[in-house]
Amino acid sequence: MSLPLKIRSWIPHLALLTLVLVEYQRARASHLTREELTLMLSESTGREKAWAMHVLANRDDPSDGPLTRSVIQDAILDPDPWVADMVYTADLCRLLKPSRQEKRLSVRFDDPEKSQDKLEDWFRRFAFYRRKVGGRPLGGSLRLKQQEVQWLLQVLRGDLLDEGEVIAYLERRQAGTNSARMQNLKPNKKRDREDRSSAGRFPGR
Amino acid sequence: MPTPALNPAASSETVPWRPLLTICAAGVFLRLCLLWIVGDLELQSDEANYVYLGIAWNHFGFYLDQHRYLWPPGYSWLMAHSLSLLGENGMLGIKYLQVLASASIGLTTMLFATRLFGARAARLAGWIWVGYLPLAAFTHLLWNETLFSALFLPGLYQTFRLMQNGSDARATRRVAVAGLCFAGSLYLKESPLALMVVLAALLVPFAGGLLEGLRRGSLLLLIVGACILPWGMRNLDVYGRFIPLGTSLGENAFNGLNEDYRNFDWIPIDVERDRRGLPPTRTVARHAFDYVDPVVYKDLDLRMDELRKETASAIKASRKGVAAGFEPDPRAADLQIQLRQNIALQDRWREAVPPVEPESLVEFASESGWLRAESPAVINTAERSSINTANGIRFAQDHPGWYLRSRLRKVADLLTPMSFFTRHQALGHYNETALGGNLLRRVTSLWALACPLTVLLLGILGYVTVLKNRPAWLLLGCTLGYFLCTTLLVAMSRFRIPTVPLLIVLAAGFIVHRKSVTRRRDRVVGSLVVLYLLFSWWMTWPEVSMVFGDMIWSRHEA
Repeated sequence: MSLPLKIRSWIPHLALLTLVLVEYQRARASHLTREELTLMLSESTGREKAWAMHVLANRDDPSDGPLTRSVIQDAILDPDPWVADMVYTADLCRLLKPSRQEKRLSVRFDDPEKSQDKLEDWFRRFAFYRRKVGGRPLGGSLRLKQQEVQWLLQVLRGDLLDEGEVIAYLERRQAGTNSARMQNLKPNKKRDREDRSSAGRFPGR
Repeated sequence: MPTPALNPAASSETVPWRPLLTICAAGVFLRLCLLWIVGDLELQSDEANYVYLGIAWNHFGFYLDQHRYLWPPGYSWLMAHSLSLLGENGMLGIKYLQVLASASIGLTTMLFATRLFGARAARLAGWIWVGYLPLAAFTHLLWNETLFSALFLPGLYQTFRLMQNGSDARATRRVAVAGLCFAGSLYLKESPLALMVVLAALLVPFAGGLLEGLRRGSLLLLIVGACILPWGMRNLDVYGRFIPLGTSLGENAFNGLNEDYRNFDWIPIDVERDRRGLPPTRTVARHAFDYVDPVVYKDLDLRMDELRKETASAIKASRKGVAAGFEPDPRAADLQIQLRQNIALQDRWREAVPPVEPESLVEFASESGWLRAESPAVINTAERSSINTANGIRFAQDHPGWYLRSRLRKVADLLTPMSFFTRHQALGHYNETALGGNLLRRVTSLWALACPLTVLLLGILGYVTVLKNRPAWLLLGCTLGYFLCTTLLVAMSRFRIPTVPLLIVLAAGFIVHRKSVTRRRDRVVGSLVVLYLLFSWWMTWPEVSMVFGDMIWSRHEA
């Protein structure tokens, strides 16, 4: 028995309402609590850890959350590239002044032999940190140029870079910036002492 | 203004597909040629941001926000996939996609014109679209305007067809297509989100019955809602609040409801002018439309002394605070920057030949206005946006006179003859291409300047004089009005791009049917519109002529 035309014309509404409900339920079911995200920080893959950091840095008040000063500083040294790279993004630079990250980046210009990161890892982090979107208050300076995009894609593919070429190019580019933080690239003991205090109310421990 | 009588003269006209497709192909070919000429241009402003976000998405596996904005994810998602698929050619891949997608814009423009003004107007609209350089240029730039319009306009066309023909047997299918197109466009640009409610409401009275109207309107909203809900839920998960697609309101409030006048057509140009040792465009601006506190030229020295004193005391207080263990006062740094800017600006004024009249208004950012909410005062981008929006509204309420004057300037910024093509020419971005040569630079820039001047004038005239189709009058009026309202915060030439194809339709209609404008009322309204447009162009003329003369007509040798 077929439904009357008038009723049949409302079937798409029913189907869409069902879809909306399913979408809502799925989203609620995949919601992770702060405790679950905290657990993810220690017991999951690199990308999952990065996602957990992203959510923990943005949801709720992070001042009493698991992204403490020591967690962030340890993450800089994390062997997992996704975790270590996250520390250079706006999410975490917002929580703690990125002095350590800047020092780690600047050493390659000042004293390349003391650099702790492989050139490719260093370049990726440099690009994520220096060219970050929305970036000036958080250490960003000039935007990406085609050349840097090419190198970044090369690095993400696992190819190697030529150190001389990269550093010479970046030094040339940085000379043109008027970012105050950019001028702070060189290690500055006095500033670093001041930066040992937190950026604000978080992370407070 | 009363609604014109229903006169669907051209609505039953059959679509002349062959000529329209030929014109469309010509438009795509021209855009393809432009892309071949300019190639993979160096990244500028937001282009670099989209690429960064695409790469970061591929690397981390999720979408990062932009600290001050949360853009809808569509364009960055496309960029991520294109880079992942094509590697270094990913950016060029997006540009080719935009060239192809522009066919949708051209075809929709001509279909609108066919239904509203007949086949002749459709062909004319098509050719105007083909040669409209500022629109064509967006296909080789990495901004989302082309893809947004390529989805938004077909959605609008389907809505128009539904309004035009209440008893349409394919109504449900048309609503579905419109809904999907709108949802896709919203993933690229969230600003027309509220327009969806207006469009759904417009479907109701033209459906041939209230119940059917409600069915169509609600179906449109459900489709759009079902498409954007997953991203809204994702944002709820990340930011703790439901943001349907993105949020840029707060940052726009900071830029548009604040002491400092900002227009992103001029900001990069002023940076470049500074680099070339040219005076900033602000030295010639008509400050009657942007000052909060009027400053006349003869008072400059007095104001400078006051600012020096204020800065010194703020720095002193800030230092005391730091010594006592508090955070440095951001106002101190802000005042210092302003002092430096004002000293430079004052020098520019004094260098001006001929000297400025003592009573003429000059720019002087003596107050810093309100500052952006930053961490640790805010947790995330969404919260920052809300606080900035509230601050902006408060500022506007405290300065009602400035608010009204400055909105006139915003409308003028939207109606400016400038475009991103002329901006790129002024900045020298095409210098390495054939378009940057002396002759082509001048000719194409003049052409790009003439395009908006002509289409804005004729398009708006077309709307108030020859558009006699009630559904179209309401639909286009609401759409154009909506985009006008959204730019009352921050305006620039780029923000009018989605409305340009509609203005082209109306301009073609006016050219074809101008002789039918015989009613006195139409002539009076038309004259008033022309006067207002002239007034708007007069407002922005000093900057436009300065940039055109200094940076486009004469070539800069680096």
